[in-house]
Amino acid sequence: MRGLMKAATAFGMAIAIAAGGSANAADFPAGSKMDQLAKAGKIRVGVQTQYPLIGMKTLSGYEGFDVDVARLIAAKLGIKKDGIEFVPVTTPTREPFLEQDKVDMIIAAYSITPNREKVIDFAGPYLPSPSAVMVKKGNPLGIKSMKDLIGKKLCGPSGSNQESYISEHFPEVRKTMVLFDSSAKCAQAVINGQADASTTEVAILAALSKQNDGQLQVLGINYDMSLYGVGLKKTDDKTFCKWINKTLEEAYKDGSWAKAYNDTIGTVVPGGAPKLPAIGASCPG
Amino acid sequence: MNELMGVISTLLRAFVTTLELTFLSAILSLVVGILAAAMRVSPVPPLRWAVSVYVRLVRNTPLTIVFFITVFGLPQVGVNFSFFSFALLALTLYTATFVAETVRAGIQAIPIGQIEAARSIGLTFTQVLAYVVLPQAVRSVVPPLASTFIALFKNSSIASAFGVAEAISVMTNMVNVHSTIVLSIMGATAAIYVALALLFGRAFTWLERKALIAR
Repeated sequence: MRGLMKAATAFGMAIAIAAGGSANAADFPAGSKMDQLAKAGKIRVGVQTQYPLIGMKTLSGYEGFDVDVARLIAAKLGIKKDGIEFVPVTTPTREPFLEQDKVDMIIAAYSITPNREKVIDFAGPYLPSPSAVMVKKGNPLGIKSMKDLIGKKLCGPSGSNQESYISEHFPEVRKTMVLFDSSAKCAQAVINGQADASTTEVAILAALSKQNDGQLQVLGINYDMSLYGVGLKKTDDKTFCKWINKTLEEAYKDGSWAKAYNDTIGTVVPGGAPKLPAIGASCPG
Repeated sequence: MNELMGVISTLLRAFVTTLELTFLSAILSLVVGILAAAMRVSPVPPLRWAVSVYVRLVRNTPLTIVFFITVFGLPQVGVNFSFFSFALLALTLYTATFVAETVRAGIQAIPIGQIEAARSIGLTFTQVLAYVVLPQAVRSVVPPLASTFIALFKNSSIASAFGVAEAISVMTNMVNVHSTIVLSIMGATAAIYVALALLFGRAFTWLERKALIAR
């Protein structure tokens, strides 16, 4: 009986806490997506799981710049850390997950492209993300530009932005390219001498080269200056999209954006936090 | 619609690699599998043990890990092939264990009296195997082998994660570029897989009938 009383008290307290949590919701227009999320105290965010420093699932949970940006946005909604449900996404699942309401937003190294904007909305961009090339330490093949990679085995992640970009802009390089499902495998292939070079986002390469201490080297060849956006379900009502933009700008101004960058990508990529790109992909103004 | 047609024609070209991988690996695993089955029933204990360890180890390991060890492990000890050859090797090593067990079941279904009769007229173990046991055993296991090879056909998609531009690898790339028709691209890929697998099924039914007549 006592146990039951205790349980009942705990239940009552839980309700009180839940009710207290919804105090923030008053700040948002009734019925808006922000209002719904804040009231529920929960948000589902699609993230990558194999992108070191960007979106990575480790034994202790999710980490990386994308994950930190998701936490920044959730915090502004009044959602606690454990109210964020991270959903692993991959290239083929991103658009369907948004269209079918499996996630509330996707922050997963998601480059803004005109083709994608036809089916989903992008808030942001929140990060410029150049791609680069990594080779064996000492650059034994003397690669200095993308042209030097013609006829060489350049390894890249299958279905990646790099693969599409290289197909379009460096078709000669694409001919001898090899594709793996993760950048970590490409790094291993370069170490083994099975591939001559590896390419993906500069932050990922920097992280991989740090992990494989002394065996790999990131070259100063930068291409495909793509911009990452926050993927949202396509709607006519752009309130949520505009609110995220505002939140990103605030996070940039108050330094929390730069802190997230310095804690993750900034630990391996020199040069400090970049400028936030001009906001307003799918929902300007 | 035009966009999807373009994607499908690219996909069909990628299926050529999938089929190459499947056929070459099917032939190799048939050879390795039958050899392994023969060793498994041989009177020489070390041969039996060696095959038993190989079958138990590889058959119970996830294919992705077999690929991983083949593709990234072998170069560490100085063995280096193209990614296609590595994929062929991994698929063959894996599929041959299933072929070996299937053929062994076929061998064990043959009445022991036949083998004793063959031995009593002076045939050696190898001759008994080659002229009496295996021709019957292989025929009786055509239907379960069909399932093994259809599984191999679909298993070949693991090669997409290890540097081979087969159907699934190209599908993933197409999905990234044509983000407005993701589900259609996956549906089309599945449809091609199903159509080809049905075709294999038909071929095996034909083979089964042939095998029956010959007996």
